[in-house]
Amino acid sequence: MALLEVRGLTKAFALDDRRIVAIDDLTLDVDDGEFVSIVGPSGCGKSTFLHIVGGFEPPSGGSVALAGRPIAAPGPDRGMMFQDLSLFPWLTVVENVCWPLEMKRMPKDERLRRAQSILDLVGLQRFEHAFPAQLSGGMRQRVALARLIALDPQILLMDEPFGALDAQTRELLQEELQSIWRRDRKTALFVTHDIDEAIYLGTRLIVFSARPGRIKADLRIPAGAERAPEFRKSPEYNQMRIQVWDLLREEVVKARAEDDA
Amino acid sequence: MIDRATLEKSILPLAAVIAWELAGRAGWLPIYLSRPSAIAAALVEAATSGELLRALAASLLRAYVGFALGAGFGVLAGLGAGMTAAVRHFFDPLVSFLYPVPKIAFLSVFLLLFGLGNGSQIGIITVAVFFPVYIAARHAVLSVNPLFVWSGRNMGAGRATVFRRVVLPAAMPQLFSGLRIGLAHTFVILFAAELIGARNGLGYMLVEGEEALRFDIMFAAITSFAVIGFASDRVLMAVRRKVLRGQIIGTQEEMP
Repeated sequence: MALLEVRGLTKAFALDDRRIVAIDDLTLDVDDGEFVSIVGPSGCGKSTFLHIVGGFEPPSGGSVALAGRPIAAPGPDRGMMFQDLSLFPWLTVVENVCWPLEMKRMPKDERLRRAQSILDLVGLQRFEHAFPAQLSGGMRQRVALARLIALDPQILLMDEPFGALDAQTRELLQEELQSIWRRDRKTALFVTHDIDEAIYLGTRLIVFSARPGRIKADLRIPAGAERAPEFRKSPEYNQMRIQVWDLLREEVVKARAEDDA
Repeated sequence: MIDRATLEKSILPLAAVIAWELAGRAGWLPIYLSRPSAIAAALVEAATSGELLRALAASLLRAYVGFALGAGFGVLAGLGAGMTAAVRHFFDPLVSFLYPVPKIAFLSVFLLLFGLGNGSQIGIITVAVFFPVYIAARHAVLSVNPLFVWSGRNMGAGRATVFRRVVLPAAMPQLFSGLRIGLAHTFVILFAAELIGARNGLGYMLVEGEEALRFDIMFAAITSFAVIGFASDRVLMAVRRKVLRGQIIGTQEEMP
């Protein structure tokens, strides 16, 4: 049985009397330990899909189940990471990372130790008493990642988590995420508009079509789970990149035509 | 060493006081504009006789009890309105209708209700403070970044915990803006109410001075009002800086 089962998922919403279908009849199985990158033209419903899996938005039709249990509300079994601004600005770095542990009723000493060791892992132990506003965008996303690790969910839902970062910072964080992921192989859905990021991080890559969102392509990423930063320079990587870009280009053109109409 | 900002800030007040004093000494000012030195002397006189302290105590009691009641009701109703549409629908029409009305207009109603004295003064301040605090608290809750709420729920917090640990701290900056406006209203209303319907307090001291043609006492009362208003605002701002530690960092406010 797959860890995440999506069956005939549909999401529609009303916009000025028009009915917009964001996701149409989407069916997908994700196995335990897969890192699924999701790319698609903007407005294709890929973020909406993540929000539905997270339990933040209800589907209009179809079903989503995690480990056999249908999803109805947000819960700590599905850990969400947003692009930015989801850390609590009134708490320090270490307090932010302690938050999910506190919700799990972990004793105070223990959660502090745990939070500190996670901060160590993402290289932020020196900033534990800083407030989010005092950190750079890349550091803030590291804290968000640390908070996600502390939550320790069954599946990671990441909505363009590095989308607001500069190219160098993004690449470093991708490598960090990759090495952290390699340790415990947690199942992940990773939405991005960056093809390189999608290929580098994923074990599987799904291309969404222009609205209404459907699965246009479902690809295995050849390098497998073990990969070094050098993977980015390999011929397989480049071949994949061209393939995905060709798939995506058609959809971007379609989305553009739809928007202009 | 005094820093540059403090120096810049003191230019206008110092210049105004010095010019006022000199103009008074030169005999250019009418009798009802007492010189700063005369006002200071009147303050010292009132302070040593105990009159100032009694007036201050009476005024501060009304101000702070009225503010606390108005702010308390305003925060409770405003948070409720921010969280629940039904509460919003209950309060909103009345609040938007009455907010622009100067609350001092209701003083006679309060005087008839509570008589001359603390009851009517505190009552009218409570009403005056309620409005800006209610409006700020309501908007504060409604404008909390939904990502914070989502993150909270995502990490396993129930509705009550999300309210206490996420919505409330996220709403604090706007809540304090409302409290600050409420505090300013407190002193405006207190002053007006004491002029009309009190037998003690700074407002009454002012009326007494005016009627006895002791304009130095009148200005002493006005000065005292300004000082307690200013000091109260400073205290509120200090509390705010402490509560909002992380939310102020990196904003314009941090700059001198």
